[in-house]
Amino acid sequence: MAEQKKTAWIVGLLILLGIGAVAARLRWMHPARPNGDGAVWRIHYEIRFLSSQPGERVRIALPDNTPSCRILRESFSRTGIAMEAARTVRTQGRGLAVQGPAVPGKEFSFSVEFDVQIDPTAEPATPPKQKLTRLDRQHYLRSERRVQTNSPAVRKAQAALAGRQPKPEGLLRTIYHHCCAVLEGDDAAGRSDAEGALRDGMATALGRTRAMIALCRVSGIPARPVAGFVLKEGRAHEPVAWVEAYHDSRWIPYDPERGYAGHLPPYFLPVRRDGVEIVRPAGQDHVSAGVWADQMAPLPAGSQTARHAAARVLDLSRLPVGMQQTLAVLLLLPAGALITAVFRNVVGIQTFGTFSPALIALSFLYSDLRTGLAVFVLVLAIGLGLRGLLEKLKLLMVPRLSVLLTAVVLCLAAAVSVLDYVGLTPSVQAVVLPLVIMTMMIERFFIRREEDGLGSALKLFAGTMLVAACCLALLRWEQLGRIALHFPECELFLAAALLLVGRYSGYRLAELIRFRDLARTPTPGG
Amino acid sequence: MGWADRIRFWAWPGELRQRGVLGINERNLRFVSRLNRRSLYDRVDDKSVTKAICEAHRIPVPQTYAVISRFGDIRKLGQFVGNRRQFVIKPACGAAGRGVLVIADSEGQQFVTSDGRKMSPAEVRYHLSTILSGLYSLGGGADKAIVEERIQRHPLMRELAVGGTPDVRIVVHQGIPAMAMLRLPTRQSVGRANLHQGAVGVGVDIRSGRTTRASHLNRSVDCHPDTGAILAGLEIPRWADALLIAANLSRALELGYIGVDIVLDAERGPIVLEANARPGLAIQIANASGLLSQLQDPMATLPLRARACAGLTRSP
Repeated sequence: MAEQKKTAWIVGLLILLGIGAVAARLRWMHPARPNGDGAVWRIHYEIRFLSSQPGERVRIALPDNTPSCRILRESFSRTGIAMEAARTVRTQGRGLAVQGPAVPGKEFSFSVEFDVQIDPTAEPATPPKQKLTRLDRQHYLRSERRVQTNSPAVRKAQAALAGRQPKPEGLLRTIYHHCCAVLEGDDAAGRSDAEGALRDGMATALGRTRAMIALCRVSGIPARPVAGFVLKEGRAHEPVAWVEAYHDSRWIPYDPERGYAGHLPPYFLPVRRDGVEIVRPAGQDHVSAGVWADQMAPLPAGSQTARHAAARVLDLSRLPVGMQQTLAVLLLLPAGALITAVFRNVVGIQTFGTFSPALIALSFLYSDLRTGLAVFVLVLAIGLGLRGLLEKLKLLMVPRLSVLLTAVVLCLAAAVSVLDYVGLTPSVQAVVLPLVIMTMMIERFFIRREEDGLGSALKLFAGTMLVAACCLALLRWEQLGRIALHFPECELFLAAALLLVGRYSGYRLAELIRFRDLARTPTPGG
Repeated sequence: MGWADRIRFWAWPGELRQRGVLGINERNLRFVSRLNRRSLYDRVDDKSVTKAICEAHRIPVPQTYAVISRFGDIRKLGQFVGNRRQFVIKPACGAAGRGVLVIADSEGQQFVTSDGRKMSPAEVRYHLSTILSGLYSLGGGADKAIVEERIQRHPLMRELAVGGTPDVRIVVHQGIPAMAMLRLPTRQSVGRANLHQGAVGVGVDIRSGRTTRASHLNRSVDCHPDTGAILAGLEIPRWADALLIAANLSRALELGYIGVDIVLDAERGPIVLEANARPGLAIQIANASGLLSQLQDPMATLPLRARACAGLTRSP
């Protein structure tokens, strides 16, 4: 058969192409590929939390590119966790809000990795001019639990310094000098809050930072802490903190612990501004976080050409974390389609619509299965009831479907609101996707029930849910998502498999049952 | 026959293959997609096109009184129907008998449907407008309404029918009738002749036109589930005409694998209702025989085509 032969050729070609592409990627593409000199560091976040508080989110600050630090790659792991990428309002810092399903007592873990390349020759950039609103200024002058601006010890120390240098610029330098050189450093006996450090004259690294912030704020200079990494050999690669003070419409960095004022060396990588914790809420017993950096082995010489820089387009793992997560799921959708094709054409299980099972699975991906199913069935039931009423009006198709869509939207909005009220906020993805699918399912279910009876419609519904469950298991398979992301050429194998299913002319499993009577009766007339 | 043969839950693929059973994948790949050109599907999807082709080739169809495609023409229904007391209104692109309105009698201004319901002219006009706006069409797009002659059921069919009109489905492969069955509506199928909706399929010997055995919902049965009538051994009247009509229609449509639905009129004999480019496979269960054994290599059946044209059927 001509089609059979052609298909076989194309399948062979696709498999060869796929193998070739995977081999080429393994041979020539390294996940972290700098295009200049300089060390590459890998930053790890390991976060574990018990999802005991329903609706509670863990916020994670992520680094941005700076003139001297470039993020080569980000990767993340997820296990049944909803996350949203967002920027903070005041400092425009990049962050993730992570939320596990509210299953009491269950531990969730989540990890993020970055590869960061330091360019040691980068010129220190002058911070851009920024305007502070009155509210921002108040915020950056406020008193905090460990930055006690209204404490007498802090005010006394500030008054002594201000007496020497009343002008703001000189005062800032005096404060920095005081915190950097006069306060004694002692990680064991030193104090880690501003009041204690200034009173005792002994401070930990963090205490020194807080003391400087408190002194700035009392002097009317807005100041904030910065958490980040010092990616330099011979240092402890735990996150550290330094200070930014607002002077002359710019945020000027000061590091009283390591002794830098005005400019920081290229290997300082800020991660979070206006706070010292990279993962919040930290230190509580249901959230534990490990954040550290490792220097990576030097890359082979000659890997820094422009050709390779362009080849990075082929590397999806360089994309930001949120985008990677979406892409990983999208890349798995053809696998879901393959499952659907196998179920329909090889097993013979019928479903409502071609892609509804895969899309339903997608919408369940981020929601708790029990709540998701409950909402799904509830919306379906309400929609079917409404569809029965609409039948009496004998509406035309498009307006009829639109009325149904409206009802589904309303139901989902109500469901989200109720879920939020009981403390189970579903993620955005879980809500938006199934709208159209739900509408079409209600319509098809109803028509099927009208034409062939409830049993037939329920059978089709069960088939749809079974295939959807298989698709969901596949989409939840984290390793598979990672493979799809790192080797998108694997889609070629999927295409080859789909072509094979497309030319499958054997019996469907369901037909073995349907035609069972044919196997035993003798042929009429011999 | 051992007990293992009597109680079976499935058949092995080898057994079905040996019996020449055609599966749905093979039907689509080997027959439908190779023998039926996609661009010609319109000829069977739109019944008004099918009827026009039939009329051009002198294949008997119910006489068309009007094809209404514009809302403005709906009020001219009276002119189209004239003084006929019986007629049928159906959507051109409908499926599974939906949207079909059978007017059995007209009493002055009132119409009476075949199930005894009275309808005013305004209600009939509303029904026409819902057809035109696509309520019953497969894709939901705009449709045409066909107003045509009401078939006078053959006495044999009147006996067998429960709430609907039985029809004969003949599968035609490359111009040659390959397999046939009689489809009898039941109470379960609510007057419709679709097997998966609960109609009874009665196998018909393709050469003699005599019924052999019956199936209901994919299982073999001996008698009609509602009336208890024995279904084997009935002779379908004017069978040779039916085969000739089916073969001619296949060639007129230029489709190589179709199912032709034929009803028997009391006077005119076999009349084509519609054709289907994806005929179902339940006909195999009704006949307790695989289609593949009938759909042989097209080259081998070439001499048979000539005979099919002459109104003869395939010899064993």
